[in-house]
Amino acid sequence: MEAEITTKVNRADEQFVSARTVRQVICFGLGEETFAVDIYQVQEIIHIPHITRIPGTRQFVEGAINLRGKIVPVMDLRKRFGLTPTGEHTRKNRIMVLTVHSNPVGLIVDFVNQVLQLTTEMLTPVPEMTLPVADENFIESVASVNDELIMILDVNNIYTRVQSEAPHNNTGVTRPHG
Amino acid sequence: MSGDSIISSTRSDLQRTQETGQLQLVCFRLDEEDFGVDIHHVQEINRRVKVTKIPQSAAFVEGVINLRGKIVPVIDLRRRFGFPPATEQTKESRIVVVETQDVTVGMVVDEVTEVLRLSSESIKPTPEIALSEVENQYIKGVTNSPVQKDDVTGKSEHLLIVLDMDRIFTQQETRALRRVADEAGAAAQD
Repeated sequence: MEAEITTKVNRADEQFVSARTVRQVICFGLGEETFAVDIYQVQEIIHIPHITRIPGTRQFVEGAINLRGKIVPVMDLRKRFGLTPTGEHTRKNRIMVLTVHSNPVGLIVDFVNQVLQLTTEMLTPVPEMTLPVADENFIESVASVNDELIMILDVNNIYTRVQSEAPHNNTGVTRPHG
Repeated sequence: MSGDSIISSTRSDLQRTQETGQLQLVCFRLDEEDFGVDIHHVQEINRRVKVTKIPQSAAFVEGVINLRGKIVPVIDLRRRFGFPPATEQTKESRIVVVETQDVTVGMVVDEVTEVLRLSSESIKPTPEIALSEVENQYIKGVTNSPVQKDDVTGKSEHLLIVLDMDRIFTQQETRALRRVADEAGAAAQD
């Protein structure tokens, strides 16, 4: 009897979700602000394991982790966004493993708190005035939920791709150095 | 050795690896992280001896050692990789003497852990995001470290960074290293 009721409620819930929600996002905290990423881009959320430092990387790259045998680079979002670095990691810190340019990338965030269902009315594009001058546009849109602004990340812009030296690119022709 | 012979020796190295699919790496540790270099580049591993400081030498050169009459420049890999300097010298500390890019160089490491045999396939390319334009082209790849295993699960959380010794120094750096060795050598003979 009770079970029936809950399934009914659930179905009603689902209908509510499908009718009005345009997207679901996972919210996380970074300093004083709340950010979010689209749920489809999140592969998993983990506690911070040992992070192997890789020498010579860009400053915001913390290193790489071994995720069940897979090598996943990890980025400190605070450093990426120019906020004060966290220093020691606490129990609340998490790594969100996302898919960026079809590769897994881990982002260190202060904490992960909720999954939000957003409707069109809640979403606004980033105000033009606040758009960065450079092409480092991390924010895709802003959602206002209960008087709070949540910045939704454009994860594909989170790092610029470095031209890696692929061997098939130098087809026999070696240019003298300098 | 001329430039050509370096290339050909690298090629034969590569061929050898491709044929057998096996690599032998000398593994060492720097500030909790594990690194590996191809055993073909390693000439010897020494206990830490006194390193003679050379005034006015390049910042990454720690000094020189006298290796059975041969003057060999020594670099501090921790400094080179931007790791914090070692707080104390332990009994485990070693100097790994490598031959690469026409120079013989000693590298100060925290400890040498083991010689590892693994298939070249198990070395994965460095994640793209962790690459930089010039600075770390000397990283050949990353592999799951069999060195530091969890006692309970038997699994390793750590990664092993495989260094490409043919790229570890820039041309400028090899020149600087050679100069240090030559000058110190000449001074020793006087």
